[in-house]
Amino acid sequence: MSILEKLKKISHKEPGIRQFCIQTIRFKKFLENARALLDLFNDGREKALGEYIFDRHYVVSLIDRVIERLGMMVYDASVLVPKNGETLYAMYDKHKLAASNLINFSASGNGGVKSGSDASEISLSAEPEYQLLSDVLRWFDGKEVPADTTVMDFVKQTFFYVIQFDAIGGFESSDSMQNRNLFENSDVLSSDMGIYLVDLWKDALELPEASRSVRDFNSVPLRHLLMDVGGREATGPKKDSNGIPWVAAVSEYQLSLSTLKPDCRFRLETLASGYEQSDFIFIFADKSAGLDSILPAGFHVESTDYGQLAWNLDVSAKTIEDSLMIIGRKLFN
Amino acid sequence: MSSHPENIASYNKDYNFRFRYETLRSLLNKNGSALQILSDLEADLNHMRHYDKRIKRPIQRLITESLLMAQELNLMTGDLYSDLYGVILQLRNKTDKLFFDDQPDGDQTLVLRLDSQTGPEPSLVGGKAFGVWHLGKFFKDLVPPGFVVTTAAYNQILENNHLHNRIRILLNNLDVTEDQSQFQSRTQTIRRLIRKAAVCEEIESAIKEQALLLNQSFPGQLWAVRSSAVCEDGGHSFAGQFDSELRIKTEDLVKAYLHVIASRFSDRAVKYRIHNNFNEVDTPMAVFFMPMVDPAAAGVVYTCNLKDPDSDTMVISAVPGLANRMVKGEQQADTFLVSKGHPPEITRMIVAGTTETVKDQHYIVNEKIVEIAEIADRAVDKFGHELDIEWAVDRDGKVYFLQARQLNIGAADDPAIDKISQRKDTLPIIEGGMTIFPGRAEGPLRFLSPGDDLSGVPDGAVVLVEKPRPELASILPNIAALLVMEGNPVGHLATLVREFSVPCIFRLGENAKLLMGKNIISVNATKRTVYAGIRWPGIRERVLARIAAGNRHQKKSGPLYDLVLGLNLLDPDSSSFKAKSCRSVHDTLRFMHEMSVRSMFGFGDKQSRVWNKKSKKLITGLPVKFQLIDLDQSVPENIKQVAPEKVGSVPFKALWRGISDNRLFWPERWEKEMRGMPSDFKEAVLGGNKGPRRASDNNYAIVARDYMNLNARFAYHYAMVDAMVGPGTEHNHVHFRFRGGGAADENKKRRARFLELVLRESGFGVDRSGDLVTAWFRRYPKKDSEKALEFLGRLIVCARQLDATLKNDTAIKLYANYFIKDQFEMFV
Amino acid sequence: MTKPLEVLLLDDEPIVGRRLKPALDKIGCRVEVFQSPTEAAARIDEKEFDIVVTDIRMEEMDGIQVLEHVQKTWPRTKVIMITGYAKVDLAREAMGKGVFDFIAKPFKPADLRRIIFRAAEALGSPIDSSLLNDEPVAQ
Repeated sequence: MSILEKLKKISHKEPGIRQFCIQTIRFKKFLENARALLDLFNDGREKALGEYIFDRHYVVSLIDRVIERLGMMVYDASVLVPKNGETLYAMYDKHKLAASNLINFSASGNGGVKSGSDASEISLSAEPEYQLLSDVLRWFDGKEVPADTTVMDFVKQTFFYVIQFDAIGGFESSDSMQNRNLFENSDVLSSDMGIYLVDLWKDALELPEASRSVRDFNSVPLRHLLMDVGGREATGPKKDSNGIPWVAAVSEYQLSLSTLKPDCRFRLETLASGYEQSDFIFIFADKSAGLDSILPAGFHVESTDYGQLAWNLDVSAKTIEDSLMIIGRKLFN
Repeated sequence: MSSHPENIASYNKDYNFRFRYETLRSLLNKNGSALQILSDLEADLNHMRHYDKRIKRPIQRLITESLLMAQELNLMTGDLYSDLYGVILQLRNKTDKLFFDDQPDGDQTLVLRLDSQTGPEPSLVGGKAFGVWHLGKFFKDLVPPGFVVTTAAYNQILENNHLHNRIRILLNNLDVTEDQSQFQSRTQTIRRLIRKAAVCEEIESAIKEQALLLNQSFPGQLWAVRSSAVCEDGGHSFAGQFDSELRIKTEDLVKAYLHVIASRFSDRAVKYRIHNNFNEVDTPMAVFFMPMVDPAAAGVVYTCNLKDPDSDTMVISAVPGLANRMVKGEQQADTFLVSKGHPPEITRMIVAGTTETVKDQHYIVNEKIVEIAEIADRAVDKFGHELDIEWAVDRDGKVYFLQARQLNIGAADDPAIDKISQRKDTLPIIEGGMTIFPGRAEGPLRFLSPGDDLSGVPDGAVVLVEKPRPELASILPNIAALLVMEGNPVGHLATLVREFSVPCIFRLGENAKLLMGKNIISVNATKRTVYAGIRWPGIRERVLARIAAGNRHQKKSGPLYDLVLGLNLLDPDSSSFKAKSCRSVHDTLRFMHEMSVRSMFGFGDKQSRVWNKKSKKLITGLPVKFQLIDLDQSVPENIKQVAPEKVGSVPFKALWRGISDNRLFWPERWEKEMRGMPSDFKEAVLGGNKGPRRASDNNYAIVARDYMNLNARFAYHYAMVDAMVGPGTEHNHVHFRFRGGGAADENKKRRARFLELVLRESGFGVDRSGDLVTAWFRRYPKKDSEKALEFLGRLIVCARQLDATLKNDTAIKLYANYFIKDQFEMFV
Repeated sequence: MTKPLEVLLLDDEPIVGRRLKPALDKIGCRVEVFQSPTEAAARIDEKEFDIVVTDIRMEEMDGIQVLEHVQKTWPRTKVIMITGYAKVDLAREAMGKGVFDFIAKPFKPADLRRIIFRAAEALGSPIDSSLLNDEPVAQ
């Protein structure tokens, strides 16, 4: 049996909470890799502003790192959405080639700058290292290039494959009945609210013996999400005509919130550990989910045909916590 | 890629293949990062407690990586290892529990007076200060009041000046550096950094406040500023390792404090901690401040005569003025032997550096000596054990006791005492016998009869036996020397003695029984002489250091070692090498790495046919077979054989340059020439490698432009090379694993030690577990990485031939030198 | 008229010299630029520089060797190392041997100028600090 067939097999039979948890962790990794990639773009952009002295080695190493990180992102995507793996790798290979061309065709040296010439006569853009860097930036995210050739385009494309294919264990989102069955049968329904609660590390090992309330979880983001929810006037997440509409998978600093509503996609991922370099909050939502009314200020938003992506990086844990409280209120009340 | 229907099937197969390769790559990459996290963690634990919040993040990260690796391994193998999930999840749950195990922060007082009724925490004030407090509790009038700047203050100062990390970096790998000047420059840098450190307002004013309070009783005060380290004066004596600053003015106290702290990083002190396996985090330093006594005389009391512990005699050494130089061994003292009794009586007085005895000295009257002895005797009663007490008598005749610590009978490191007992005219108790292994050693004597329990033999003992019994092998790593009354010098035990480098004399004869009843024995196995008592200062430390160094791998323990760092799964061929046997995160990494690589080369399973179809044979005149699996057209398409020059993989080419180096010798070449010779002659010439020399085994290498993964198996040896060498440096790495088989345990171990030595010399990080050697060379630019691969190529070829060549331990260093100097002809 | 600071700049990438020389000229340094370590070493034998700025990793000779050469010949000279790689170990080794400071590529000329300013101070011939502030603030 080929790998693909095996993956399909796994995704169609009852995968269990364990698979769900592992795929959730894998999705986090995917986001982490995407973020690192964006950081690399920013780094390159900053260096190109003209203040910095850098050499060819820096640019080559930047290209190298981008390809490496892109590959990691593509790999994660291929595990999350196996049916798109082939396409993704084909696109990735094109970018590898582009990178290789950038390196090889610029290796010819000074390209016209006479050695020993007075530096003040040479404008920055004539320096071969700067030329190379600006070529590289164009490859990353250039606006004047044909559509779908930049790395950024590729990244977005990858996102949409991953999100569209409801990353809960690789189900098609039309299989929401199967999703709900999975959670229903695993006894993860919260005892005090209409939401499934999964402890990413504990439940993956062993399903809980008794039902738990939100308070039983030692999860900072979960607490903040549901802080203003379930009070006197507010009711919090509750069962609807299709059953329980939400699942939250958590660990101490992580939260992965997804909707189980049919034909609707909403996913919130966050890490709020207090270590700013890795903390983030990320949301994907269908147009029908009305993200604009839920989102607090400060998010970077991208709207596309497939839906909306919103994120906040480089942000303090407190900001994330506050955002979660707002989102929770608006989502569940 | 064509879209013709007949190609789609093969296209799918290609993606399958591709996905598998990418999965392997992802797994190996994660493995690399995980190993890096592990080694950083190990360094961290030298400086931080396991429950420190800063340890938590890397551990959680590590376990997340492992879990994803497990998913990847299962993707590659069709879920063969789903057991791993349970193991890893369990480890995560256990480590999470550890972090809730928060140790109470403990007393964080920064500056503390030493005169309270309730004892201070020894971990807060250090051994010496605690001893002073203890002494002061019983003898309030004798001990000048002082105060301590605690270990909490020490940690805070280091923290505030960002020194923990810098010290950690500077101390990194210092235990394996043979380069003396690098060692010295590093420790010097640390001392410089400390002396320049900023002491926060809080601590500085607390010091001033305490000093002023005490100044009231001792106006115009000068101070003694002394180290008081944790672990000092406990089981291990750090005596004399750190500096004291004397006659310090009140305004210079902070500066003196920093100097004393800096002395914690003297060459000697750092070496001591390394050899005795002391963590930085476990041995912080407090400093105590005591008003200086202006002494007419000062010295040390040993409440028990180490040369003759049963003689009920105290030894009091004295010098005029301050005793600090005497304590350091720089000045000879006058010695008084005082018999214990009521009243104590001076039995002998020996003038410094002579053997003359005189009646009395000009700077101290005998009555004072008796007074000191009396008080010391009372102190022994109060403390409940023998003591080493520093005393002083001021110009008014008042006696002060300045420090007291437990006297280690049989482990006197005090150079002053050594000078007393060192009498070159002492005759050896026994002479003669046969040197089995040379060297000097000393330690407490243990006579072992057949059937004695060996586990009770203390580290550093000198063991005496009648006959050389093989079971003694188990204690060889831990003892100082071995004395045997009879014995065959070419027997099994003798071989082991040589392997473990234990100074040893055989055939001492019946006379050796004269040794029994002696406490400490000094052995000169080179000259074949044995003395009673301590003879050479420093030897004992060196012996213990050797033992500790040998024990280094076993000494680490603690919850984090057990759950995360420890490696239990050593032998991939053993039946216990399975997912369920993994007890630590390190085990799971090792397991997953091994299994992932094996699955790529699934010998005999369906998959390997796929690989075989795709692999190409490397054309070479050398007696090795290589099959290359090409992943991104680094090997020209559509041909079944390829010459090394045509392979586009940078790392593979570099490795091959090493393997095919024409200065190397291949015994197989000889074998062809030797056909027809008698087999035992062949054996003798070609080496004692019993078993089929399967040069015909295939070795597989996966290659890509900037990547290679090689698994070579030949005649029971296994070498793995995994390398990424691109134009950048961030992700470059060269990883190497070697496990040699087909030889006796001792030989395997020797080869492993050889490998460790040459690898370290060449800039690799190395870990050796038994006979498995793992080495890495990370984040170096392309040229360096290529050189490292060439080096490995040569090493792999030479290492195969080492089984018979490394006959003993000295051979290891010898051959290591040959290899480093490219003298490959020595490896035939 | 204060004596200009004599600086030797060594990096085998030409762009470094081209971009740094004018930046250092501006603060009153007299800069000699070299791309070849052997030529630089020969020049060091001839002349005592106040400050030597050298790359750590060069083809012919590495920065540590240059450092040692400088220290042997002119112990007073302050040496500043440029490193382009995450080679912390090498950096540590140099730190132990008395490198004045490090700067990692890519860097802003202003960053190096600040280090040079400190080095000049340490030498006892401080540079006019107002010269440091003529940089447009980044961003």
